[in-house]
Amino acid sequence: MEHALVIQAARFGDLVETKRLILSLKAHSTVSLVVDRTLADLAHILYPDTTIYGFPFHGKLEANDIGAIHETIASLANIPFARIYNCNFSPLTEAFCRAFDPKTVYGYRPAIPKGLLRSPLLTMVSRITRCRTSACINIEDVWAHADTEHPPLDPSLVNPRPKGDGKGIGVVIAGRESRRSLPPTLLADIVRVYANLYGAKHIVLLGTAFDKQRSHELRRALPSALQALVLDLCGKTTWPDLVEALTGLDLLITPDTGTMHLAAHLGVPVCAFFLSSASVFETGPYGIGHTIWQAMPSCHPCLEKSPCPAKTACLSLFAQPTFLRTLVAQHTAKAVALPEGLVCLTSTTDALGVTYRPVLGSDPQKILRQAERDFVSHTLLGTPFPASHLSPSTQAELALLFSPDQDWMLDNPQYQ
Amino acid sequence: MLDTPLRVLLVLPMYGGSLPIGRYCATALESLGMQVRVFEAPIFHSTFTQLRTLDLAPEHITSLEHSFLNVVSQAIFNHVQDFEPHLVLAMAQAPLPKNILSRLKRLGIRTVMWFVEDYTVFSYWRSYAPLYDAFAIIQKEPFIEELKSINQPNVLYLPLAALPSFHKRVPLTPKEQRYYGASIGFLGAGYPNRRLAFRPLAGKDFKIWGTEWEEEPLLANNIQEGGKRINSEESLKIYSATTINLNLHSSLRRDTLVSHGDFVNPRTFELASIGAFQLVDKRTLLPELFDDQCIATFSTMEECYQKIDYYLHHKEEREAFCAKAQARVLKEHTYQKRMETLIQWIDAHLGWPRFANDIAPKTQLDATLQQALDQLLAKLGASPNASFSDVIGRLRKQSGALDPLEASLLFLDEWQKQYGTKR
Repeated sequence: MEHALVIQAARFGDLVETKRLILSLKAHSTVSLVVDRTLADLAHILYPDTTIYGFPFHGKLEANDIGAIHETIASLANIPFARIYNCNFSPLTEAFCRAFDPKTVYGYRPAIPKGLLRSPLLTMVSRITRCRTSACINIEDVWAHADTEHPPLDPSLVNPRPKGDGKGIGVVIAGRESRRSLPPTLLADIVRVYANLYGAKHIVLLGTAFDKQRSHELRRALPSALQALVLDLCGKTTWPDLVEALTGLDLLITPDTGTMHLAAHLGVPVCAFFLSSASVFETGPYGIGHTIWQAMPSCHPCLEKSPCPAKTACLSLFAQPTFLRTLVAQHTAKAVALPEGLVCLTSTTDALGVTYRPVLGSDPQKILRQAERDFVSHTLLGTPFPASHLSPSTQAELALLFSPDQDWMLDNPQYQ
Repeated sequence: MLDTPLRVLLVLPMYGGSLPIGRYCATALESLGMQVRVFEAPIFHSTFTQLRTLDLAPEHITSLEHSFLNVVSQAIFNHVQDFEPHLVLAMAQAPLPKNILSRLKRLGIRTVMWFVEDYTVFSYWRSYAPLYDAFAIIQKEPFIEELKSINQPNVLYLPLAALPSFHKRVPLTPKEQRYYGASIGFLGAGYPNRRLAFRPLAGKDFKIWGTEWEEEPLLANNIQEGGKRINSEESLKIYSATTINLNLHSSLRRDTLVSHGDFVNPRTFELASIGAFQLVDKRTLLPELFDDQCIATFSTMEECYQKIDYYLHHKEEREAFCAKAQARVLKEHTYQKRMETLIQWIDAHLGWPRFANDIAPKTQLDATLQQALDQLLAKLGASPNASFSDVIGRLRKQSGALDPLEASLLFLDEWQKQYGTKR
């Protein structure tokens, strides 16, 4: 078997979302994985048959780390990797990858003297994601297709089908960006609805130590009967603890978080609330049958670090009095009208990877999104060129996006 | 002065006499331990000139040239962003337009043009000099006052020089001696004053090298190689093989063969550095650079012709001049000295910008790693005291896979950039 090295220097969620690539590589290669050292324990849990290397991509460096950095790179340089997959557009992984022949690095390839070149797929993705409104491919599938020699694993086989095991409801209090999370009082209302629908015996609150204040607020906002069911694990879980807490839950209520991806990995049904900059089409839960409530006002998706000029219109969609009744209707498969800008989707898969189908409300970018996805599939998988419902001028714009002038007027190399 | 070695982005012109001088400056700055990046504008010159062969109306050509210059200047700015130089040193005619100079000023990066030209011939300094932090020149008054009058008070008189590691006598084979050698020689372009001045020497053992000697029938037998361009390496052979090197400063005027101008041309310093004998026309700024014991001079062409005859028959006097001139160059007139002067002047008058990356990480390495690091510095041709950024710059240019230590250093550099300044 060949040796393959995957470098994933990003955060918790990204590590979980590297799963399809790693499983695909395992079909023909012995896989090693380099991750931030704070995630090494989690990586061992996620990928038990993979050799894991923890590396200081984030956090503080101590003097003795310098020797450890050298030692790790020296160990890896001794392994005859046929291919190295760099998942990150990062100067840190660029430097790391310079320990290998650049021609063997895929995904983001180091340039000489500096910088990173994108693979044809990543070039294509970076072009289409300039307009995030019509995002069409999940990041997990972008990484999975980095291996151009072999077809990636069937997307429906990546994660188990979501199924509860009677352990109650999990609630992720917040994500890293507060604007992408629901406020505790609103979240409490949603938890109350689902606790009743599922007849939950336990409500497990999950988050970091920074989320404790919010978890207290949420708990106080619950009816007293439900307060008694709460187990607040915020700031108390190691990686194995978190896996144990998630396993067997009937539902995980969550914003776009690493815990959401971990739940999908474990086969826990996910009910996710995506707002602000979070786009389900980019980073939604992987697998078939997860539920996602996506706020899509005209300003979506925004940059969460910039001040919101729209008075958080995305959040107000969830705060409408009818929304809780909508949750019930969706759960019981009753037809119900959603306010404009709100969509309920379910995850499914196609030849390219995971995708999301509206079950309530409508996706205003559906046609363009599908056309872009068809373009990507055509390019990557050789699927027939799609018959499009787009106007000729929009088709021409799209074609230009996928094949800009400099690609064919200049003799540009594949990696750009 | 900064704790870390200065980073200098040296912007060469696309063409012309300041181009080799720029390259000598780069070598000199490196020899002074500075980190130098050279912007190779000459690589664009051929494309640039091809635009004029497009059979288009002049206004279209002008527009294309303008767009092309924008591309070139943006490339320079990208180098600035990448390299974070403390100083951008532009040689005369460097393609640095106003908008880029304004951006450099906003970034606090020191900008200097070394205007190694005659200010009475080129006039673009009137609009460009105020845009630089300082203007280094090879002439004095009234140029200095003129610069002050247009809002450029930071003026440094910086005469030309030689690069002794390059400008040295080269051994010649007998065949080369015959080919390049002559009793009298001249290397330079066929300016009007030179054409007239040299005609009386047509019947002598006199070789003329260089370009722009077309349509000069009287000197046709003296002009070598059909007036081809002579590169710097070949010039050393000509100077070394010639008994008397004529050095007549150029002038566009035909009525005054010896112009008695002010600045001293590069040839004067180069011949002196090589130890080759020269007869040079008198210049007002020459005596402070070379006294009359160092260099034989003339005020008129008649005096020049007489001195040619005299020195052809007085080898010992020639050699005495050569030795003194060479010693003077080595002591005072090298590009290393000029660059030292420039840097010290900026340090005293303007100061330097400070960048986050100027703070070198202070780390105790274990003995094995230190030994590996020492070997790496030697492999890269860097001094043991090389700055971290210098080492990184050299590492980045390596092709193929780097060894683990090299990749580790690159990683630490990037880590420092990403997190270092925040902690």
